[in-house]
Amino acid sequence: MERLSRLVPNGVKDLSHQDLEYKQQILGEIAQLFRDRGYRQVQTPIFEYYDLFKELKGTLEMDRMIKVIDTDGKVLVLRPDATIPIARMAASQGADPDQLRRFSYVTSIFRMTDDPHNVQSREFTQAGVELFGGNTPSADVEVISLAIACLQRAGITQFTFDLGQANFFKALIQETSLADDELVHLQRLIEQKNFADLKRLVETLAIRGEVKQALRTVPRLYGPPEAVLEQANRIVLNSEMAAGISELSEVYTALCQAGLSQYITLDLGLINDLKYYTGILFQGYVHSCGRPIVLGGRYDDLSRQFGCDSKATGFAIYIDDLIAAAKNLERQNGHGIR
Amino acid sequence: MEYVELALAKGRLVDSTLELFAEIGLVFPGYSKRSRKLVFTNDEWRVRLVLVKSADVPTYVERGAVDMGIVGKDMLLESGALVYELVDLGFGSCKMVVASKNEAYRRKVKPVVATKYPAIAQTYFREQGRPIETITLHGSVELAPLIGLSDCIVDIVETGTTLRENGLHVTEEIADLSARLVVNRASFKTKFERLSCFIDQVQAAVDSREARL
Repeated sequence: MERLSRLVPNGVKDLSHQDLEYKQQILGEIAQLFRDRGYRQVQTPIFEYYDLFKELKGTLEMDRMIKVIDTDGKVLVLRPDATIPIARMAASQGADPDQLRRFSYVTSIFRMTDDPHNVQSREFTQAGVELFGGNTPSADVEVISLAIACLQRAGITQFTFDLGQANFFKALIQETSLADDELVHLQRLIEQKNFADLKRLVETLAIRGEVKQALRTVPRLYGPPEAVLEQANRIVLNSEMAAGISELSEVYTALCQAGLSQYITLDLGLINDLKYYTGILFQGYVHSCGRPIVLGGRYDDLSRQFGCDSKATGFAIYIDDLIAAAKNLERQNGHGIR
Repeated sequence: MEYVELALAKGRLVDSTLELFAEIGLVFPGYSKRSRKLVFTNDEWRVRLVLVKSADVPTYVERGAVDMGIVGKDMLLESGALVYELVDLGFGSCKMVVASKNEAYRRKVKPVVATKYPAIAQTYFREQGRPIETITLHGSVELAPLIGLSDCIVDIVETGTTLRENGLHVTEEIADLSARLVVNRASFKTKFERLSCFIDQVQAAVDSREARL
């Protein structure tokens, strides 16, 4: 018989004192950076009502939340996401929605995933910030610059931040009247950059020729920013699409002025979680990790659902992946963080 | 300059892939059919080719163990790997189908489906609201309905000869399949210039083949 008393469940792991000290060191650096930039650390409970996440459809996979039944029969979940509870908390503070408020967090996230390759798939650490009350490109620039500074502080040298614009695709879709399942299929093919199948699908849709052309172009709008912006402008079909591009261009220009252009690429095919993101969104990639290590973007509609219409943007860093990348680099170069 | 790593599915896609690569001038002289070597390099292109089991290609690419992969769409559907699926290479065409001796399985409350692709089978039937039970096999799936192990099968067919010779026929078509060039999401961003140059050449070779047809 298996001796379960000697094992830990799938998707979680112990940290030795060396591993924990290393992690605390990186987290300490990042937390200091958050403080220096005016972000105050907050904490939300490990348990939340399932309804908090259930009502925000399309944000998280409902089946992947770890659920517990409360004594009164209500369903609770272990914190499956950091941003939604912080938006709830920020809305409950009764502040002026347009007042700039800066919050940071370092927290465990729990998900019921069965990734056999990832020993930390069910409990992992995220550190990040949320900036409420700012709806100008300067707020986007502020959080993107901070995310870049975090990777630099952790000693990562080779990384890329990919910027997208959720409104560009949303505005393009307004030109069509596609059914939900067609839209889901279309979105998936664009996200996968599956040009061949996308072409086949678009040809079967009952939409105008210029919209077909635009849909087929969206996943190709990636790479060096100047060229992408120019190409994107050529398929603009309405004023919202144009506004989305000019906003993206403004954010990119500001990041260049801050001396960060070497880290930035654009991808207008970045259209995941469109129900959640409402403007500029971004993903940070490092050389050695196959997944994005930073996820972030603007989510102006979220806090309205909690009764406080505060525009917001923020990001989360996957700390365990960051540590793996930093250690990897250390092995290659033979030096530590900083 | 760093090497670009490409995982190629062992088996029927190898020859077609190497032919396509030869058209763009990328050759791997070390390769021969009988050799048991699994790693081949072209130092001029700085490309390293690794041969792996086709079911493992999506994993290698998704996890970033290699930058790119060449694999059948069947394996991508089955694994659900999050990768960029950039080029339909045009060869390795076949279909994912449901096949059976007769239509009796449609009337069963919960038919038993034998397959190498349990995820594809479950997704297909679930989307139609039809409950099934799957039995996962690793080969000779056609045998399952004949010996009463299952009511039908979900498998890939090219010509249908194997099905016919075993008294089965296609009852439902699930998807068209072909070989795909897939790319790791992070590699595509962090090694953008290297990879996009290579991908463009492959796409151009595929396009010129199609134009010749």
